[in-house]
This record gives sequence, structure tokens and C-alpha cells, in this order.
Amino acid sequence: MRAGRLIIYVLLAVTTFFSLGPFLWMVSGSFKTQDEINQPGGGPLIPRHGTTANYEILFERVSFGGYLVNTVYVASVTALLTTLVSAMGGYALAKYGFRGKGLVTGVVLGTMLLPPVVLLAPLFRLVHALRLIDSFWGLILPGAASGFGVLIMRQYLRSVPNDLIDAGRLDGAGEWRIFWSVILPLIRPITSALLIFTFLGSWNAYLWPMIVLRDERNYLLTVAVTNVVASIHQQEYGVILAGTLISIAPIILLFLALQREFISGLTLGAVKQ
Amino acid sequence: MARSTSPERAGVSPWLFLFPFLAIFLTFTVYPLFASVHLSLRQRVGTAIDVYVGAQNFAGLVGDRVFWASMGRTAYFAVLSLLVQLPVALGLALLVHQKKLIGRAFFRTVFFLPVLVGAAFIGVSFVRIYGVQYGSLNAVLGWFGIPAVDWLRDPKWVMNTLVLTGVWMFAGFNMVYFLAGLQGIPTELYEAATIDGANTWQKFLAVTMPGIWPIAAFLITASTIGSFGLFDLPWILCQRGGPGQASTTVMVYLYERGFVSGDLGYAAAIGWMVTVILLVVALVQLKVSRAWSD
Repeated sequence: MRAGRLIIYVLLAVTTFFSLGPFLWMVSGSFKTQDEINQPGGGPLIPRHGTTANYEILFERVSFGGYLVNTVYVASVTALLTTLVSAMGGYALAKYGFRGKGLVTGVVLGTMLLPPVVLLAPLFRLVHALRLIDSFWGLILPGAASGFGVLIMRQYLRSVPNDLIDAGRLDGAGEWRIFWSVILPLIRPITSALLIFTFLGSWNAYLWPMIVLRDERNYLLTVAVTNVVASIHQQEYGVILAGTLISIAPIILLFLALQREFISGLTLGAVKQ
Repeated sequence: MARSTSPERAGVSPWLFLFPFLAIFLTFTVYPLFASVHLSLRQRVGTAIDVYVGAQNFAGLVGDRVFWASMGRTAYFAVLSLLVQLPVALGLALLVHQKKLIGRAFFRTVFFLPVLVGAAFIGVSFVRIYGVQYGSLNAVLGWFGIPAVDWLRDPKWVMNTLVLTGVWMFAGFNMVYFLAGLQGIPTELYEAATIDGANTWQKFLAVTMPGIWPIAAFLITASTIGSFGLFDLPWILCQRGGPGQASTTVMVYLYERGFVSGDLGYAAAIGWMVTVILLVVALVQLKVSRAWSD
């Protein structure tokens, strides 16, 4: 039995090393000088000549602060809009009986089977025609009507008792009032999960922002780190690592603060329809 | 006095609640879907865009070796990812599922951290981890006497590097799903098996595996669809699907044809071809998983 325990902890140590290793290596590399990081294996883990020069370059020469602001803005608006639109749609499907409900549900379900690949080319045409190229709305709107979001909201809202809605109506509250001040506060677990899910997805998106954004000043962090930082500072690896770290740090801090919400947000897909 | 909902109000309200969703959904999902069919039947001929060519794009696609090679690579990635990633994720889940484990919460957090990092960020920052001479991964492997691997520039190896990177990124994600499955297995089942004299391995086969099978089936489908969207890693980490075209996945090829060469019609046709193939694969997976669980 003791040997079994030992094997378990050895396995945990090895997997922890490989899981955390790249993070430690990035942190360490971002504080290294050019010479040090260019050594075999990237030099020692604790920098011998620690420097913050990589971070200074990032903010002085690349205007990294602007990309950070753009990303926070786009990810926040995407998350808020998608969640509100999904909650409203899900509420209609869960709590009202009306003609055409089956059709709407069916069409939404059907489109969820399609991989996003198939929409890429026509969506670009559309966004171009709507003059949304280089606009943040070109990033935010196409994903804001999420079939997935509406369906999980519908699923969750079904478990909310109808009595509460009826009581609201008896008190003379309008339909919107009931939704806004009775329902929304009740479904906070699912709204926070969907908020986090969409926020993270938007923060890490690369392909679509690369297609939609042309003006360098509008770039988001993913596009900025890969296209601006990496091409200007191809040989200065520490700058690339510093840029990566600043890009992922807000998400990691958010995760450490809201672990439970993150886990339920990222496992939303397992909710049975 | 309380008033009851008039029929007219009940009739309009659901549509008002659905309006924002439907407006955006019809514009940015349903319309592009039809436009995609329209587009896939058109080509750019010289300076004239959108010339109707019938099924020519699809005919071209059937004979397009680069396309089928990219499909082959993507399928290789999809299958190998499943074979490596799911056992690793299940292993991690079993490790951190043990009640008596010291530091359980810590290990769960650690294994989950990579899930948060976008593929684009991994693409730029892992380049030197994978360097052949100066890379830190080869340095670590060297401690154990494992010979150096040219992770990114060996055309025969580069897809394996992507699979490994995928394991690093997603094992923790799949682990969380497996954990949810493990927590759903009633402990009485294990107790009953113990009374029947089952050993650990027999309990794993008779209780654990059937318990997590629905989760595994879901992960297999989700992971397969995700694999066919693989773009960020080969595009950034392997510099546009390189070396040569050794990591040109179907998504990289679609982007190159549609957005670098500007032939959106061909890109739309690629999109449809992939969609149809994926639907067939998903149906087969569904049948197989139903047959297995019966």
C-alpha cells in the first residue's frame, strides 16, 4: 500500500512539473536579458541578471496598454451582450407557450450541429458589406446570438417555478419587470457561468479578430502578440514572453478568484439538453 | 386589484424577449448559411468576383491533393489526440479524485491552469521550448538520456508536437468532465463490488468505466469537432502550417485559399465538404457509442 502511495505522488510530481513548467519558464524568461535567454535551454530558472526591460519595451515601443484596453472592452461587451440575449431568448422558450416555438427551437438546435468552419467565408462577406471591418461590432455581433447559450438558458430556466412569475403578475408587474427583477437574480449561477465562458472565448479568439481588424491600433492581445510583438521583436524573445504573460495574467487572476464559476462555465457543454 | 395576463400580451411578450436573439441569429448565422451555399458555387475569374461555376469548386476539391492531405493530417491529429488525451485526462481525474490525497485542490487547480491560455499565446511563447538545440524541452528530456527531437522543423514529427501541445492545453479540461462523471458514480456500487471480491482493476472495468462512458462519448464528439477547427497552433507555432505544408490542417488550408489567395468560393466549398464529412463521422460515433452502452 505504501508503494502505491509513493507511485501516486511521483506521478503527481511529474504531471505538476509538466503542467506548471511552461508557466514558470515564461515568467523567468520575461525577466531575462537577451544574452541570458539565448543560452541553451533558455538559461537558469532564476535569472542571474534580472531586468524589467522586456516589459518597458512592451509599453513604450509597442503601446501594449491599448491592446489590453481593446481586449477588455471587446471581451466584456461580448460576454454581457451574449448572456443577456441568451437569457431573454431562453426565457421566452422556457416560460411561454406560443406558435412557432418548436420551429425556433428546432432551427437553433440544427445550426448547433454545424462546425463554425462553414460560416467563415460568407460571414466575412457580410461583415464587409455591413462596413463592420475594423469595427469592434464586427467581432461582437456575429457571436452574440449563441444557439448554445439560448439552449442552456432554456434548460436552466425550466427549473424555475412558475409560481414566482404568476405571483409577479398578480402584483401587477409587467413582463419585463418580472424577467429583470425576479428571474435574472434567481438564475445567477447560469448567467455567471455563461459570462465567464463567453468572456474567455472572446479573450482568446484569434482567427476572426485577425480577419476583421486591419488597423493596428484596433488589435486585440492575441493578434497583437502574434503579429506585432512577434514580428518586431522576433529576436527579442523576452519581449514576446512578457507580452504573453501580461495577456494571460488577467485571466489567471480572475480564475483564481472565481474558481467555482470558471469550472461550471467551462463545463457548460456537458449540460444535457 | 390584481390583473391577469391578457391573451394579447402573452402573445407578443415571448416574441419581444426573443427579438434580440432572432435578429442577430437570422443576420449572422442563418443568412450566412444560405450565402455559404451561394458562395460555394461561385469563383473569382480574373477581376470578376462571384462568377457562377456550378459544382466546379466541389469537383476541383475532390481532385485537390493538398486538400485531402490536409484532411488526412487533421484526422491524424483528431484520432491521436483522442488516444493520448482521454487516457491522460482520465488518469489525472482518478489521481485527484482520491479522497485522502493531500493537496487535492492544489493539483486540480494546477492541471486546469493551461486550459485558460489561448492557443495564440501558446503558439508564440512555446517556440523556444521546442527548439532542437537550445530548447528547454530537449534540455529536460536530456536529463533522462532521451535524445533531442526536432519538434517543429521535422516534417514527420511536427503533427505529434501539435498533439502533445493539445494534451498540455486540454487534459485539464477533460479531467474536469471526468471528475464530474466519477462523482456521479454511487459509492454503493464500489462497496457491492468489494463484497463480491473484485480487485481494483475489476472494479475499474465493471463500475468506473460504465459510469463515465456517457462523459467519454460526449468528449469524443466534442474533441473531434474541435480538432477539425485546429488553426491557431499550426498557424502560429508552426509558422503557417510549416515546415513546408507538414502541419497544414484543413482550417489552415481554408484560410489560405479564402483569405490569403482571396478565393472565398473555394473556401466555402471546403467548409461544406468538412461539414458533411464531420456529420457522417458524428453519426457513426453516435451509433457506435449507443451500441457500446447497450
